[in-house]
Amino acid sequence: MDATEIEFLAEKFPITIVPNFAQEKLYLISGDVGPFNPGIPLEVPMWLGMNLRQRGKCRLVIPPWMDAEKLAEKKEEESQSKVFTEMPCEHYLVVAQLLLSAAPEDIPNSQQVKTLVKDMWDLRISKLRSSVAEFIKIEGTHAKLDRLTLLEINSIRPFLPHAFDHLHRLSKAAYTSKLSQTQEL
Amino acid sequence: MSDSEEDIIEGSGDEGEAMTASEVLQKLEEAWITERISPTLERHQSELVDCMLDQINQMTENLKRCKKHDFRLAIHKMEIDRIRYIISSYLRVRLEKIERFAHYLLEKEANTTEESLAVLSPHEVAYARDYISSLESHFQSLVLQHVPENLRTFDAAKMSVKPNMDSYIFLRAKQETQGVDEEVDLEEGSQHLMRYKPISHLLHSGAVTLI
Amino acid sequence: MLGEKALELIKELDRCKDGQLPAFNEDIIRMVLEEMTTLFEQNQRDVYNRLDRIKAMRWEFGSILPADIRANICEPEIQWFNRYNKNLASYMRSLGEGTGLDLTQDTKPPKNLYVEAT
Repeated sequence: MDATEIEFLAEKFPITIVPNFAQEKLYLISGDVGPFNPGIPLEVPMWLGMNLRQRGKCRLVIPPWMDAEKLAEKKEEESQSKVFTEMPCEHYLVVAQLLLSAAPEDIPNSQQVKTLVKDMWDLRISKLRSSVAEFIKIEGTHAKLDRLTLLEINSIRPFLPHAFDHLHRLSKAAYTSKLSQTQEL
Repeated sequence: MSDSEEDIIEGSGDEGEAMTASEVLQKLEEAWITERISPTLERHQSELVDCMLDQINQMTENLKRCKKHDFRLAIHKMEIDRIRYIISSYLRVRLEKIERFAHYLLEKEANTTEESLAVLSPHEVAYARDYISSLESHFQSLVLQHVPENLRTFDAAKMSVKPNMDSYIFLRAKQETQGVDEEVDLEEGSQHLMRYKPISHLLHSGAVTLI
Repeated sequence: MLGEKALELIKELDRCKDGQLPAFNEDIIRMVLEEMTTLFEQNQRDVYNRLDRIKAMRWEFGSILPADIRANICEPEIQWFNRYNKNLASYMRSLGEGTGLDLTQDTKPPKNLYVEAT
């Protein structure tokens, strides 16, 4: 997977919008959306919400976690915790980037939100880097990566799987040579 | 040609008929992600592909009847583009693997009797066969006529690559499974980096998904 | 390497008077044959790598090769390209129960309109 594909997947997730128009239900292949009534909030896929916002057809309801105060608390929790904490959204970085670029005026304290999301990402990625070194040091055959989001996992691809492939080959080779030595005796 | 196409439709099985379009799309999207990540070629999903292509073709037809400035037009077109991208990307990844592992896959295909376990679709089998045979004739015409007789056997198998089933992949557990690869317990919702081989049966049963 | 060893054998034979034969140098002959096999396999790989590049061009440029590339490939390679092209085309036509799908298109996720509009 590359970053554009992960963004593509994130765009499928729902977002709440408040339309300023009336429209009967849309029968999309991925499921029905609507009906749309002025002032009545409803959930639509991100790709559709972004498009409607761009066309001036709606206002976006910013997800509750994209709030400067909440993000600051979350950041504190993440920096205090040894393990990765649960993120409020599987695609937090992509969602924040999409919303911040499409409708910064819809987001209170947008500059601060932007900085906090970026800080959160940096914090988690540096934590991930040090745990990667740990994984390889203990020469495990398995690593647990709970609560990491898709984009974060993607940042250690293909490096970490390849490192493990390599370790596995080495241990297999060591095993075989040990085996043949025993047979020779 | 038409015979094999009918096979595909019949092969869609009972679950195919009961699914809604959005469920088919969801399954196809999962198949696409799995295929992008898996080190080997996964079982073909032609019935899902055909169903979705049919859906977007029908939708395209319907849109021709819409007025040019119909509000819905752009939205449906965006969705069609998204679905067409998933289908093409999925089939491209498969073709790449089919070319790379052609020999291995055809050999495996010959040993598979149960149709529902078939990795290659009938059209993919035809593609793989012609691909191998084109390589063989190329080597015949280019190399083999210029070399001594004792070396004049083109070993296509030597040129073919086998997938590395020991490759490490990321996965998320959808159901709890214990004692995977002897020692690992997969709790529901947990994420792991593991070898592909010991978890491939869990992938097919739907207990894990590749991420 | 190969040439030198083979030449050594010939010289050895040359040095011998008529009616005599040098001892059959099994080691050198085996080395020469092994090296021929290695070279042959290397050669097969080179041929194969060229086809990979030619294949990539089908995906990038379509069914007609650009003239400058055509000038640099040999006749059997052109024939192989045409055959690859034909196989791919018939596979793509077979998709969707015969309605077909051009897989060389849609190579990137669709970028929605909203990105350009900002």
